[in-house]
Amino acid sequence: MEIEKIQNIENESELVHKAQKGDQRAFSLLVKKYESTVYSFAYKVCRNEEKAEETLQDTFVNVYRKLDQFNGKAKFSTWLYQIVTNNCLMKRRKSKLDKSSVSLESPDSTQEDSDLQGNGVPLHTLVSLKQTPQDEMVNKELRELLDTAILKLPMEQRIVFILRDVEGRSSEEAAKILKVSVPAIKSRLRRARVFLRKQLQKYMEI
Amino acid sequence: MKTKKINKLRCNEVAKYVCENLDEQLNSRKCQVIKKHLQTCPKCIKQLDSLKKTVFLYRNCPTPGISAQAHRKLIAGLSLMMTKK
Repeated sequence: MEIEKIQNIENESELVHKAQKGDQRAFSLLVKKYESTVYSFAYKVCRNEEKAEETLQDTFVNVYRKLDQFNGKAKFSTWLYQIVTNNCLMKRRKSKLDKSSVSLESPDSTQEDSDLQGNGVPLHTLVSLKQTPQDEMVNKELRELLDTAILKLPMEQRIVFILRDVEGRSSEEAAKILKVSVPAIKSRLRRARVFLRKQLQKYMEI
Repeated sequence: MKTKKINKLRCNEVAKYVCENLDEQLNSRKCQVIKKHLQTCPKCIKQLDSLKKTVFLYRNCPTPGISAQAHRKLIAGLSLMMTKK
């Protein structure tokens, strides 16, 4: 397992090196390896297949154009995430789709304190494994709620939430990807979690 | 004095700390006190529970895979770009 991991790392640096020297096959292999990762991340951020496809295209065009700038100090995947996140941020700025985003200002402690009134219910009431028509309707409703809530988050917080809580990246790696400090990541993550929990609160109380 | 202050953590401080450090393996003095608080404060337990559920729902929300058409479009676009270079 460990040997396989090391071999993969070696293969990847070799692939990157070859691609940097103009080997198109090596570049195609990198695309093949990471296209799902990029698409999946883009979809989680914009919650829209068409936009995720556009982001996928833009990302690999940028990767190809900037490949010679990759110096190997960070992991290739970290560098790739930097490009995807930049594309997501650029897309947001261009289209101004986030008009409904909430303020970047942190909720004050009183708000957080009042949030303590929340009521937990068993998770099986939210996500059912049986797919009856009623369950499908509940799942569709839940999915729409999750989409609506996350799209209200400012992009900077949304990206941090997805990197940390959905993709399971560390705070340190998220900080490298977004080129901000670890405390800044933690602060954005806290705001995102508090906001999303509040958005889902009513659903959890059903 | 400092220990006394830490032991008297208020729920909003706990909420802030938990929201920042959920899922992290921390063993600091403050973390130990917060864990202790969480064992005895029903309000904070509920809050932690709803926070965990929120993260769980997003983590387990299905993501569509890349379509064959999107894959072909990507490869075609990149091939064209590489040919032009």
